Amino acid sequence: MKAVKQEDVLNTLKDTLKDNFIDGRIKDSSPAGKNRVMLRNVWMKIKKESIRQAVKKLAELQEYPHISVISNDDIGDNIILNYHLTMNYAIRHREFIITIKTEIPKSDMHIDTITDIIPGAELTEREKQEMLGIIVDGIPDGRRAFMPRTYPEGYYPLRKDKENVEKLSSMVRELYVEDRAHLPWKKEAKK
Amino acid sequence: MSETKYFVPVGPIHPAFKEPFKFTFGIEGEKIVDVDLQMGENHRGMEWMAMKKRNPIQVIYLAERICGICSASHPFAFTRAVEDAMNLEVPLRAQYIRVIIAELERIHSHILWAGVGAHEIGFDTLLHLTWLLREKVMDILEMLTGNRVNYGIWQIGGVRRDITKEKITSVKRVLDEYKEKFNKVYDLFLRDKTIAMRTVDVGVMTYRQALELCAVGPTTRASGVPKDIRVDMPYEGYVDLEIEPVLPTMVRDETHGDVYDRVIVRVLEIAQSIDIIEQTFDILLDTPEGDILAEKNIAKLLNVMLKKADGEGVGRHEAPRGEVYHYVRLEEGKTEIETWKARAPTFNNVYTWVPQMLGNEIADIPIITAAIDPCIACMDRVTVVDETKNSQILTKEDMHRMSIEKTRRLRI
Repeated sequence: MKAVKQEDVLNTLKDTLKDNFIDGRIKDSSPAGKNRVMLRNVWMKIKKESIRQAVKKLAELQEYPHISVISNDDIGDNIILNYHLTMNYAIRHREFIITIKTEIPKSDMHIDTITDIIPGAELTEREKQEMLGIIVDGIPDGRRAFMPRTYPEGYYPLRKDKENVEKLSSMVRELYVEDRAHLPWKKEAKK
Repeated sequence: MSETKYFVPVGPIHPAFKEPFKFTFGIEGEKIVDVDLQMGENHRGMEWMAMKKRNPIQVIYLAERICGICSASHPFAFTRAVEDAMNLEVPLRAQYIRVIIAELERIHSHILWAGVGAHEIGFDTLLHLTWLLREKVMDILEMLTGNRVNYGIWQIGGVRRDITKEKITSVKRVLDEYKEKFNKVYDLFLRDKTIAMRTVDVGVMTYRQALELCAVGPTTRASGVPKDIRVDMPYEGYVDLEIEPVLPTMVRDETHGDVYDRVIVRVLEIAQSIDIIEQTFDILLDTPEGDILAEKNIAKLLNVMLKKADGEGVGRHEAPRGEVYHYVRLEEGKTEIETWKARAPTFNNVYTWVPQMLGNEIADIPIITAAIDPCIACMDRVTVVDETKNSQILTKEDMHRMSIEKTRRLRI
């Protein structure tokens, strides 16, 4: 496998995405070891419409880019998704992380799936759907992964807006009372 | 071959694992033709517990408790993420101490796994032998950190305890003992007829499937993908070490991607970790004694440095089971972390069960499940339901018995 350079990734994506590419930089990590080696990771921000295009381009540079996880960040009106991918895996000392940031407004929570390009992204996309209420268009298996099936629709545990949190805590209490009602000690308590 | 397809649910309760799961197998006769995974029966909401509520130093101890076996890996990745966000440099000595603790953890984790794997195929004498062997490395960890599990040695910007020359001498003595016993472990696992019978060409995952599913750790290396963060993207003390990714071709002529290959990778990684620790000791003895923390004053670290920090960082570490990934965002003016994402290796590895299980027998479920090294206590009960709605409960003991019977059958 041929190694790809950080600068090349950044420039290629800038050229491909054009206006949808917002910002990109290479960040050095703190030095490690005797020779003070630094890791150079790529951080970029793009518009949510072009996430598939960006990942497709990366897949052209290297077959099946490794996806570590999609992390999430609720910043009020918008939710940020960070796609943490790595390139050049299995090449000695050449691997680096690419973090692709996209911002999704809470009024329009749709984003395209990347599972047809990287099948390994399915679980983390499912997690985003149930934890934040994001709708991933075209996901092959959109069922809940971690949340119980009895959990009501419309509540999302990892949202940080105050309204959602308040609803959530009282809702959890109600759930607790309902679901455990069949237990013998609960029945006794009710009497 | 039966024409009726039965569904066999396995799970879901799983006490010690971040992603507890439930399997639903579609069965035709003894053959598995369909696999469905359901996770989250025991989701603890740890990210929620930390976000906006705890400061990074408190989160280290929370991260340690994500997993009882990876209790060095999660804080390792988490502190690296925070240090990346703060642009904090870790003192050289602390970088090597981190490597030593992480590698000692790998030894105990792989030995533990080897015992569990042997138990799953009914080879209990081997379970007792390996777990007896594991006690020694737990003792070393207790001597170096103060704890057998949840070591509490990690700190933002370094480690909390130094490793002195006297301690190095006594650790080296135990490592020598391990080297002697390693040959025995190697023989027992890789030259044994019973283990080969139950693991060769069972639970196969091809090279391509491993790439597609982004599998990590020994699971992916056993399919021939040389992904190892310690080699591909070295960090901290690993930068100065000579490491090669362990691949099954070191023992076999070609990669099969089966359970046997996963046994090979893990057994050889025990020897690799011993070698890494010895290399690190040599470097550590040459390194002048000095700081093991970037900032000794914790009040200053918390109230000045972390409060000033503004930014985001990522931390990766090659845990015994694969890549651990942490993402942290800090905001200026707050000591609490704003956002935290922790991803354990099994998160990427669970989907690899699907290609591994298909086409195998019910009696192979325990060993295939164990082969990616999750915690396998989940298999507490199995319900076999047929179409006339008659159901029969199989306990974990029944499954285990079926597995032992298969071993006996093969031996005759």
